[in-house]
Amino acid sequence: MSEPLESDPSLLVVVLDVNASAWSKSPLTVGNALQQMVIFINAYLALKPENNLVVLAANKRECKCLYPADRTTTIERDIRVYEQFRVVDATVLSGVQSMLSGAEAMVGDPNLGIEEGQTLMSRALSRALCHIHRVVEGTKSKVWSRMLVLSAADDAPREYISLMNTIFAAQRMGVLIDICKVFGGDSVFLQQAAEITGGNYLKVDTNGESMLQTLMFTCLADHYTREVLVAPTNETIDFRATCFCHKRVVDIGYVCSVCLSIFCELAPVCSTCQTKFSFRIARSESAQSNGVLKQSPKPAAATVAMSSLTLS
Amino acid sequence: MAKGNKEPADDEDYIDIDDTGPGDLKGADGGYAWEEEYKRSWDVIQEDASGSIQSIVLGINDQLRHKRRVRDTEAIQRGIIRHVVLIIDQSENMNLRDLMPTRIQATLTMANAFIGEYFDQNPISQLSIIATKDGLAEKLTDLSGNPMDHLGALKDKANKDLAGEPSLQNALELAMHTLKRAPTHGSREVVCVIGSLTTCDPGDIAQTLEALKTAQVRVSMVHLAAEVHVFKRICKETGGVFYVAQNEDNMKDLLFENVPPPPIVSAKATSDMIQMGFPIKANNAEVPTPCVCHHELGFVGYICPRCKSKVCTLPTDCDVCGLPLVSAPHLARSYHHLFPEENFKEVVSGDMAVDSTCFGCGAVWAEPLVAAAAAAPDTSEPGGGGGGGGPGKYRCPRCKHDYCLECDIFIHETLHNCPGCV
Repeated sequence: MSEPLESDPSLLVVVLDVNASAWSKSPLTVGNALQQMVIFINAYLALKPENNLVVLAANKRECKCLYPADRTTTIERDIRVYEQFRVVDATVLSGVQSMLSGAEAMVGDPNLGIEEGQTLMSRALSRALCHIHRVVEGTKSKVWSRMLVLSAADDAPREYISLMNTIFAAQRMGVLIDICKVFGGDSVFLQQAAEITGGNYLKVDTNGESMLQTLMFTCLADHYTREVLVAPTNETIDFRATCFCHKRVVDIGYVCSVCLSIFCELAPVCSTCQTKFSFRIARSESAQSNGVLKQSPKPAAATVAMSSLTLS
Repeated sequence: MAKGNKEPADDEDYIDIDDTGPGDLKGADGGYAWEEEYKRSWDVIQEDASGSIQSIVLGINDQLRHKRRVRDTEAIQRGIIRHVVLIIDQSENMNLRDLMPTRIQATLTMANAFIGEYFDQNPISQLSIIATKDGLAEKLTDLSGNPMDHLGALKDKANKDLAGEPSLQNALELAMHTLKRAPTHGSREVVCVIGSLTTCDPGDIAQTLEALKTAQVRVSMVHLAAEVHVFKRICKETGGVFYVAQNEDNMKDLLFENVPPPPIVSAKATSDMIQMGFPIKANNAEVPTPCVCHHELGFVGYICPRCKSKVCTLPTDCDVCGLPLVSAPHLARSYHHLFPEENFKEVVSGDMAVDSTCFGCGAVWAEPLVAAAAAAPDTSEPGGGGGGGGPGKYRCPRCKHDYCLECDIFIHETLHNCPGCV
């Protein structure tokens, strides 16, 4: 892959988490966060006239593309505001408003595996990649794309595999994923998304006033600038796995050759796919002494959810 | 496309003596690369009524993209942990220029792409490269899970000279020897890229074939010139596939069919519990330390949980104690082979429209679907789904959302999950 040049345009996909119940617990209000995000978007657009923008919003039930909007809504002209800022600001704000109000009106739950405080994050990220793919394929010059996810909701364990697929697809396409988590505990899935794709994982101070500043300093830089910047380092992310059988963190584990389930000790039958194993492991003696760690105080980032994985 | 994509005739004994051959054996776009005398690409482009060539260029682009393959979407057991030997013909026959710039250059370029794609799709699998020339077979790289080793060996200039005749038997024997120590829970495969119509063997290749069958090695080949009976028989009897490449693009498609893991058919395949290490990333060292794999100094690395040596990339095998080192996401990456995404169905114009735009990328549908298809040049592949150059709609059978062709291909080849279903 070629090196990024200073003149190359960027494509930014902003994914907004507008899960009403998750935001209701946050000390930072949606309105406040949105205001700061809009300022950030304007700053991004002002950096380079060729910069391209897509805004997606997702909640528990649906995922919508807010900008570019599919139909042209008429927005009254305002001579004091730069044309593009106004269009983006108005469509994003009205789109989020309609999603927040629409969510309450909806009855019935089509997504059974998703709980109240969770968001369809893998759907949003998949659609974001489709958008990026379309723009990159449709432009002759090189476009460097990245994603910024404003996340408030918790991880949905059901989404683990699809999210991983998305993350690896992003890595192949050279898309950076920046994560801005505004509230609650660390999202282990999104942490991995940032780590694998080379983006930043930011946990915003709960007061929220610093969000804009953090975004401006870390996420505004394009691929070219990031090469010379020193990004805030994350604390070490643990890629160790949890075994399916006892939910222990293992550093030497046994993996079923058929379904890749992870176990901490030898078993005659795989509990996930019912495969019977032939016992041919010669190296087990040396490993069993140090194979299983005691429950680590910090939960492993890697496969908290893999344990809840069911093979149909 | 009859000859390039599928085995030419079911009847093996049928030999076509007539050089011209029946017309339907030729590809739709003019047949094999060696049959073409000149590439007159400018002849294809004709101005339309308004004197513009834009529409025809768009049509050609659409046709190229339309090579949407229908994939096997059954949830079957696949050998996720693979051991593949890539055999490359380095005889003088590879110097021919029917593939641009030469056969060997085209092959090496494809092999580079293949290695990258192979390790991307099969992160916990292994590969080895064998070259054959002068009647001998030479192992360029041993079975290893690190793509850099293989790419480095292919780049090495000394590995690029061509000489004499190839020896398929020697190459297969060497491959079998390499695969012998591969554990039985993994698949054993050989992928050959061959440009010669002959093989110069020291013994009876039929015996090698029997040995291959006993060792459960699956042999697949991509031939650059024509079908050779003995090559095809080896592939057929070991459960592999034999293809003849028409041109560079076709060769890439055929070679890349070996990237997704093949289904397990053999009843003898065993399942094992594989011991694997999940190393911790160490990046807070105060002084740089060398890694055991490349002996380069660095701050960042992964510590093998068994022998505490430092390796610089994952997944790999620990160079000191041989433990396979992976991270949990690498295991997750192989899941999409086990649960493939369903093929989308093309929406015919009579169906009810569900989405006003493409559900993936938000592209607006080109207005009347029928008109678009009619306006495009009538060169769509027979049985290829129709649609011609028109921007077709494809619907996911599970979530009933519509996608454009771009997104359909992207979802199945790169993303591996449907945005509507997740």
